Amino acid sequence: MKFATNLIAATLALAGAASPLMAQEDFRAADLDRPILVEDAFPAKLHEWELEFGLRGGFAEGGDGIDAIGELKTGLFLNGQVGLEVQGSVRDDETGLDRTIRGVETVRAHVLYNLNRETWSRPALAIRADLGTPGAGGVGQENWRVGFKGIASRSFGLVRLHANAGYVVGSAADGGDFWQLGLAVDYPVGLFSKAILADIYAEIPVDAGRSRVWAELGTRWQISNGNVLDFGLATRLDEWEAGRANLEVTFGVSSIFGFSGLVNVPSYREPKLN
Amino acid sequence: MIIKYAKRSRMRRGAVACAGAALLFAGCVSARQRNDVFRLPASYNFAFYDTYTDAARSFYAAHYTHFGAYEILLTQGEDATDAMATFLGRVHDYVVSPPKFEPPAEIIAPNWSKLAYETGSAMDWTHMLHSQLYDILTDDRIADKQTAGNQAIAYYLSNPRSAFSTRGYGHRWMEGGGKWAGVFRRKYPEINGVLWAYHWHHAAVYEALMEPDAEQRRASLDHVIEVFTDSVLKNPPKVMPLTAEIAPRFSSLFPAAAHIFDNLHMMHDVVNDIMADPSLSRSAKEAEIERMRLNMMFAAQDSVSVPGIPAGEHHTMSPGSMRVPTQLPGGQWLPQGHPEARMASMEELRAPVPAGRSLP
Repeated sequence: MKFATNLIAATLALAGAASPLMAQEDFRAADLDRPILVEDAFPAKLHEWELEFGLRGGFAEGGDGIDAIGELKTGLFLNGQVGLEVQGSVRDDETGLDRTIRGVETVRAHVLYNLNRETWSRPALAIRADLGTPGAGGVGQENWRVGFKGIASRSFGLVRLHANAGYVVGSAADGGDFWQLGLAVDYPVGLFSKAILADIYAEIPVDAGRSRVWAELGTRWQISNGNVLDFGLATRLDEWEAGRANLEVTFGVSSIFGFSGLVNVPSYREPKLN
Repeated sequence: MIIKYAKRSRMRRGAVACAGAALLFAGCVSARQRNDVFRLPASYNFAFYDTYTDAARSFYAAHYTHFGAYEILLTQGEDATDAMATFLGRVHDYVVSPPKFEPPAEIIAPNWSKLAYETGSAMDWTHMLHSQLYDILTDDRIADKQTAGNQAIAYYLSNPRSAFSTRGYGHRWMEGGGKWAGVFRRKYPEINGVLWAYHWHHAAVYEALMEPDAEQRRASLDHVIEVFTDSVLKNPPKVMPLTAEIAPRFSSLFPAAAHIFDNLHMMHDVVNDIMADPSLSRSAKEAEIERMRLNMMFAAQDSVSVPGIPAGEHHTMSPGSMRVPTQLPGGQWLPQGHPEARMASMEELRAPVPAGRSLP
């Protein structure tokens, strides 16, 4: 678990060192994994870059583990974003051997496109596609994985609901195909640049196998004009059986910034004034 | 056989998912999107917030007042006198103790944002230009303020969906844009007074930041905040102040920005009036706000007919609002409202201006 301790230390250092480069207009963003597994239908702004890093530590009677997730994403085109995520893990070996296994679980690329903004009568809708590579080490995913997801976000006053529904194509070695279903809610705390988020998220195998169901509660805090911290608690509801308990803690930081060299600024000509 | 069936089943599911996505996409192709664009990345970003944090935060109460008023008028009706009185109390609380970071419009006015997202987005985009010009004037590492400011304006104007016009419309749209003109200020003079006081404040801060020396700048800024809280907020302007009236040096340096900010402020007033007009249904308000936004955008400025200011008892012209954009012999422009700009006659101001014609 020394690796996990180092990861936590590195995350805290990153959070402290991040500088307020750009306004974080949406501390409320329900970004995937930050800190819940259901996401909203709103992509990064055009030319916006966001770096996210987080840890998800599990404490279960069957064995402890910790996941580290780093993601870089950008609003590459209007109303659309692309991102690259690396997910690593270190956890107790559940086969009964007294050892720790670790590795890169997967490297995942995604594209998300927002189809429409929310209006008075209909929710904001987005579609997302993911491609995950095989991993490396003892925890690595065996084969490529492809996923498609539909996302809807709808607000009722200050309360905002998000629904996700997706399908992931995976090999038998990785547990086969499964459906993703999730429902989340977020709520801003006054004008204090903090939000509370909660969700129920399920992965339902298409063939035989037990569904995996998470219940999560989290918060996002804007700590400067460019940085947001998130904290969360999660539990695998399907593993609360035979007296076994489990709890996961998530912690992460998101920073937004831009690259002036990648932005086209037209030359200034005095526009019409009268 | 089983494998074949499984493959077929998977393909069917995939085909259904793709067809569903295609239908969804087709249904939304003509839908309105958020079209959000990130600010111009620059080294000076947030220099104003980091250097004069209290001054930067003082504007957040203004944003709260604007968007909060829209939300109340939408959710509690046009004659929400009690709600507005409570709201005014909260506004004064935020004047004293503003939020730490700028609250987005969707947090303050979640329902109104669904009605007029594009207008809220244009306002936020223009607030971004406000911030960047404050940053440029604050940051002593930026030696050539003119070039940096013009670059920020050029980037702002490159977003045609959200950039306000650079023409000096003065008060033309808010007075002559529709029969709703003046409804809000007559119904809610106290809230309106706070908003016009903040328009003064925005411009006065620019003028303070024009001081070349950092120490003078801070002293001048402190003075502006003192005058704002002790005097302007308690005795607000009687007409919507124009940027160049309050900030002539800043407006001479960036005349296009002065007009952009006046048009933003005018659009804020236009939305107030439309939202407070009980003769307009919710969908009519939505359509009217969008019509006015499209009229006042940079993209439309060569093709719209601009209304004249109607004669009437409800409008009081300040001397500044009668001064029209004026080109000096050297080619430099003095914007609308500048103390040295030409004073137009009432006949000129009352006359509508056909599309493609220059304002007098």
